[in-house]
Amino acid sequence: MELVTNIPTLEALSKCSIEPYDAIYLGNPYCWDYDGNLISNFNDLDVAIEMLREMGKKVYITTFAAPRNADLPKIFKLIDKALELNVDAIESTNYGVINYIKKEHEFKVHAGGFTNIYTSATVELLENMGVERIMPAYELSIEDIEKFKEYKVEIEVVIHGKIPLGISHNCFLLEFKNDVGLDCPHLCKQEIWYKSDDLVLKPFGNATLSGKDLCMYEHIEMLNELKLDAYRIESISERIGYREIVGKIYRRRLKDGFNKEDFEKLKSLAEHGMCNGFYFNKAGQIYVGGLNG
Amino acid sequence: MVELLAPGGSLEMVEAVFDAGADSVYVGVKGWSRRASRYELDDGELIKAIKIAENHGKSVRAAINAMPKSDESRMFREKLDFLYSIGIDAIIMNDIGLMRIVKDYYPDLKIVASIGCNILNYEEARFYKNAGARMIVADCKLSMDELREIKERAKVGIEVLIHANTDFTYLGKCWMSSYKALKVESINGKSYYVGSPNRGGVCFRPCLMKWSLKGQKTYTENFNLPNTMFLLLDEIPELVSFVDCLKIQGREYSTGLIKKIVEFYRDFMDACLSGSVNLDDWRVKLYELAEQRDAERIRKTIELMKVANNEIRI
Repeated sequence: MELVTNIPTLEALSKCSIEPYDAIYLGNPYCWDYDGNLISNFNDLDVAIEMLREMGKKVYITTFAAPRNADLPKIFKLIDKALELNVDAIESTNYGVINYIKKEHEFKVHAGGFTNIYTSATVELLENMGVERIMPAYELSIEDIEKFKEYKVEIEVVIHGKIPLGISHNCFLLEFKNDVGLDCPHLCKQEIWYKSDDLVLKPFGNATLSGKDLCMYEHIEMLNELKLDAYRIESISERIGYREIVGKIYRRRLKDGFNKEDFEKLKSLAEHGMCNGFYFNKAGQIYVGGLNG
Repeated sequence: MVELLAPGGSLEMVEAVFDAGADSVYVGVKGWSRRASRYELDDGELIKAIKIAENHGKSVRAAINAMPKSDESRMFREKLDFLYSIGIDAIIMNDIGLMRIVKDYYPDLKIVASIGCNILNYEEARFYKNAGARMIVADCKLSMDELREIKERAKVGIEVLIHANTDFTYLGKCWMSSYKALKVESINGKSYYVGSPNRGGVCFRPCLMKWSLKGQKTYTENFNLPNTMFLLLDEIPELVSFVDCLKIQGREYSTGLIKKIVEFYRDFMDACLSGSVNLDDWRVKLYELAEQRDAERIRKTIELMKVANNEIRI
């Protein structure tokens, strides 16, 4: 079982923050202009990879999640760089890019959460293409994901953090730069939320994330029974310290079992509460508790 | 000749859009498309829709673009067999894996890659073409130059929406609605996820709720996340020179309104093809239609929000 997380910039990468993890996805897939984004700052990427290698971590590089024609040359350049650095895999959520990598380079590919993987037929197609790992669509339930186990492709699921709920062609948050008094690239690094009735969302570049933290802490045994290949902690938009604390908590969870104090800590870190409804065929923002809660 | 494709949310609408000049109509297969089931057609109605089309010398596409559960693949095959047996002209699909299955079993059946595929670049268009799609539906956010480049490089048919809505997010890559509310139901044994457009239910349109922007304080409030009417006019004379199909969305609108919209675009396309047009005159007419259309959409949105809040059922 691999415990993975994502880190957008060199600034966010510290030895403490990555210590609990086996592998790291480098780069922010939601905005090229994100300050210090490792997918567009190759000097920083060199340093980040060297640091991860020294710590014995696996290195994955992510790519822009919604590429238009004009984005493709930049992505191809990043792929060349990833090949040069011999990273362990490239993550993409675009079928065109995935196909390009497999056809042109035969490199390891992880198909991320925006790839829209809903059916066994698509898992089979990706397996036949040689894709090494998939992340099922975020709104699938555990019973849906279980069906994908009959294929050889590895499966990665989010076990904690703010999950992406949508992606667009631009950053809508910039409409409010005058209201907030900040502009790109500082605006999306603030703790800012869209709120309406019971719904809270977190704007982050071209993506919109869940306001609540998805949390499967109480359900790890159930997930373990499925024998999945990787658990992801989504921390791309998080403040300093979150990645390290949550990573350590889940590392202890996997080794030692449920710990009430750790669970309470996760609750306290979730500014707008916790959720995991999608995994149980319910609305995503609902939280389904386990026997330990 | 560019095809004008119109919605068929009911048999009455199918008849009306052909009368209004549509070249083809698309209908949702009950329980299997990205709209509420009441705007989809059951098996008997699908057969009747094809008869209506034949009487007009026109064609029918079936939208079977909801993502099924993995254990519903047999039901998908049965539905596919049925659609093929009744002589459907094309099917609109979303799932790339199922598309490959259709290509293998019915290589002569035309596949259209749905708007839900969210195809954004020429590499992706090529990939869908190789998977079996003969035509792709372009996202409303793509520019004319991007459409031309996709057409030139991927050499695949392109369908462009001329009446639709542009959403806050890319269509097909959004889970905001099912994050807010989700009801798992069943239609003829097939799961039906009310709240998840990707999985065949409605979208509750959370974009159109009243939002506020909050951090250390409330920065602003009472705004919508972008979700606006998308009506093309000025672009159509250029589009007809290189795309293959112009599509009018709107299975959920009233038949009377859709008929007027189809008539408008039929007349406009004919005028474009026959020579010069005075765009100002056409803009005035389109503005009137847009007002009627928006009034209907607001009513529908209020209804959907009530469903999301469990105040009513659909």
